[in-house]
Amino acid sequence: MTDEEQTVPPADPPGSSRMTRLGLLHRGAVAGVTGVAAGSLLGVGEAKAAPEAAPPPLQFLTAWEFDYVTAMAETIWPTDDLGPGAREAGVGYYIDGQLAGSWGKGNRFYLNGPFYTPADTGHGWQVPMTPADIYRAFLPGYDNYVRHTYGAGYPNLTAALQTTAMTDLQTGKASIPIGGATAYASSDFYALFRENVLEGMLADPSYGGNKNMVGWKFIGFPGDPMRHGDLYFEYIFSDKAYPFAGKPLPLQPAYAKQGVTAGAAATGSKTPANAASNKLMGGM
Amino acid sequence: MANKKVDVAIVGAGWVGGIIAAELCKQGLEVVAIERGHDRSTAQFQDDHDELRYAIRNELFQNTANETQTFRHNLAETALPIRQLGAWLPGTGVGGAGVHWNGQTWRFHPRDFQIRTETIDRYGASAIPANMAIQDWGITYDELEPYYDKFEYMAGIAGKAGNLKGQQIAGGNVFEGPRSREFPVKPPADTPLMALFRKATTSLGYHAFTGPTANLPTGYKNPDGIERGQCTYCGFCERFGCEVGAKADPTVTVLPVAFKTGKFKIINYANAFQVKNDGKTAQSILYYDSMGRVQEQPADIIVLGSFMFNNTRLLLNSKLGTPYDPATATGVVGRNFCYQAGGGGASAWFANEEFKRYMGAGALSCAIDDFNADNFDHTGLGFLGGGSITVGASGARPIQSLSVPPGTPAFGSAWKAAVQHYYKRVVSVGFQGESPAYQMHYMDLDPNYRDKFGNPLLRLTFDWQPNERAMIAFAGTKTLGIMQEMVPNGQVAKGGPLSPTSADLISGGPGSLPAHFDTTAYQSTHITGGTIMGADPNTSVVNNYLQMWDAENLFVVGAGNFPQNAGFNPTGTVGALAYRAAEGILKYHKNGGALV
Repeated sequence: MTDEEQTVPPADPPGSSRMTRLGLLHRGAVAGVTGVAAGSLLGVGEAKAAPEAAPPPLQFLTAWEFDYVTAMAETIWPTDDLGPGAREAGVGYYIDGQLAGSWGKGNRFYLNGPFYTPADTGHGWQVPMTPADIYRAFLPGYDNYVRHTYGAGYPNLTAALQTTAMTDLQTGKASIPIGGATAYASSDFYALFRENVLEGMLADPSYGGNKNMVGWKFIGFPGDPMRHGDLYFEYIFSDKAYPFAGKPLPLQPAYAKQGVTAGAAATGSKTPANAASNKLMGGM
Repeated sequence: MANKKVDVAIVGAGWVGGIIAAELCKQGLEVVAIERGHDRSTAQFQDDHDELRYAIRNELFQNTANETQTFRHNLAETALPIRQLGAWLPGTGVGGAGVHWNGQTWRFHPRDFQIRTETIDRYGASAIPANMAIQDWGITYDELEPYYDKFEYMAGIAGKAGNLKGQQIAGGNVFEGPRSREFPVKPPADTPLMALFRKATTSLGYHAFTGPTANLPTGYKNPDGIERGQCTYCGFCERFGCEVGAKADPTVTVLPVAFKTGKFKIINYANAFQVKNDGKTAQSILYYDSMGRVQEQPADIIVLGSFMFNNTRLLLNSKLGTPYDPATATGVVGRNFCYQAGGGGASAWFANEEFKRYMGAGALSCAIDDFNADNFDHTGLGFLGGGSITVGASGARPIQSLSVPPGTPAFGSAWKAAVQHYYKRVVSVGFQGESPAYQMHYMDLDPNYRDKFGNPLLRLTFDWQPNERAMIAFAGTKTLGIMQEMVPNGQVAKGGPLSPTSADLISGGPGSLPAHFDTTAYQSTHITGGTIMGADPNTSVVNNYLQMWDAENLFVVGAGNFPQNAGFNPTGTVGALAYRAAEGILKYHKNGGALV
């Protein structure tokens, strides 16, 4: 039993001063606050980081939920010798933004009743809840399971036990009732959550994760393909290595697009392949 | 008050609506398209290299909150709604699914159009399982060839003929039906991966060729005078719009031609829900406008050119044609719902070799057709049909392209190491298998669930059958053989602990399909049937001009016309049928009456 296990209720009410402070500490780490800065936060007990290091405000998750989600995301994509993990990439912020946004609120989900528990496999989402509803309902149930099974809340387990607790979700071993029913399997939440972590590591940084494009750099994805100029056609049909694979650039909105062809010129490119098409576009 | 009556009113402004509108307007007919979505053009896709927005959150597809389908695996089950998109991604808006497709543009085989006749001729009637409802199309390949040609020249399809006027040509698909002339555009070059596949399949005695593509490798000016530029190989095709117009789509090909005549109009935000009719003649399209008010578009001729689900639903909601009854196999509307079977592929994870997987074009591929259709002897195999085998370079958008060898943990440091190592080192050989028709697979109106306007959703009844399971098992052995030839030192992965970088690894062998059809995993948007064509009004909805048997001034056009699905992507055949329908509509407009 750890201190936190004794003092932190499963679903801490939003605004609880202790939870807000603990959450912000973790969030400070995510936002890249140095060890010294984090230490000073501890000492002061006041959630005021330097403006440039201040984490963005949460839009949906409570501090407790944010803490949980971030720790769980670290289990999926950990910090290790190979590179940064989900915490540094800001996956918690990514998930927060998604749950606060239209997807989290069930946009494009058909949520008309009646609802039934499927008799066989392959029917997918069959609960009258949005993704945001699911996160909110599932995490306290999971926390309860983890505490009873492993003796502490997920963020405070050892990495090895966190892996075991995540495996319980993956296999569906953890039975987490939502609203008294178990129609939503813990393996369903695992699949949803893991997908959200991958998105948070690999979606454009404008969505709050993949901070500094750490995910793209890690696998060698060049980001928005045209940002270095219209060059792919010079490389795709040969064995020649693409020089910008490890130097990704994020999306640049069309209204801000300047100097794309200048970039091509700088690398000795011929006329961009799409020049003719660009001319055509005026017609539609 | 109804809108002004026009010559022709079309539901949907995708490939079918666009092709028919262009052809009819050129001949001076006045055409209106009823389109539920908004206008679209390349200008909207200037910053669409955004995997999350388009590929994961489904920006360009039908909004399932408004309208979806319900699904059950057999007649005894209560169907459940497909509550979010999964197995397929129907389009919406101007250009339809033609905006977000990959561009793989095939012709079906001559045998596909006469599947029942040819199967019985070669293997006997007993080779067809009792509940398998495959039937001939009521049109032959040779009859459809001129319309394929028209579509390919309009869209600028790149490829190499494998059969010119009956003469087989090495380097093209030697199994294809005779072409009247060469492709309009030369095929793209091989990527290193395509070259590897070509070499391996050739050394195995198969017949490799470049997959026919609607992603222009060079600039092209089509017979309508439309000029389009070449592909940038950005790798954002399927699920995305093409910002340079190199991918043929209705908004950069046929729709501008229709608009230029001054005879064409699209009514946007208009949800067609019914064809008003007297049981013999279609009078008007009823639709909800952007305010949800019912509006009416009268026309002399009405065309249903929306996605196949919606074409069937419109007929059922309009009480046009006899609904299909699976108990007696009588009736026609909703009949022969088919899909496609995957799961017979093989993958390899290289120890060292890298591929620039993030570069690509939707239809950039090398293929063999040796195990498709009846291109190989099925005697003693225990199944009918086959599929195309391809290796593609369609672009590895990262969220959806993290493949690790079997046996790798699903998360944590070991998985992460594998993700990093293999993102650029995994290759796959895919199999796209036929989906035959069955008596119990069909579409009707759901008794429990409704769309946002209160109309019943379409209910689908479908599951995998023994024939497809046997076909997929067979396909997996073939793709494994190809992969072993491509990766000579590859160890076939058996699961268990791996040291990821020490050896080339291969996964393959007899393929399998899930216990039940899975509505959540994307497989393809190649769904067919419901408004099938044929020679007999008792077993088909439309004749071979896509004119409805029961209402001569109503044409129903699209992949819904396929009596069963072939082992190829459907758009080439949909385009051919649209040109065929346009010709039929012009004939009908002039002379009236049944065209067949």
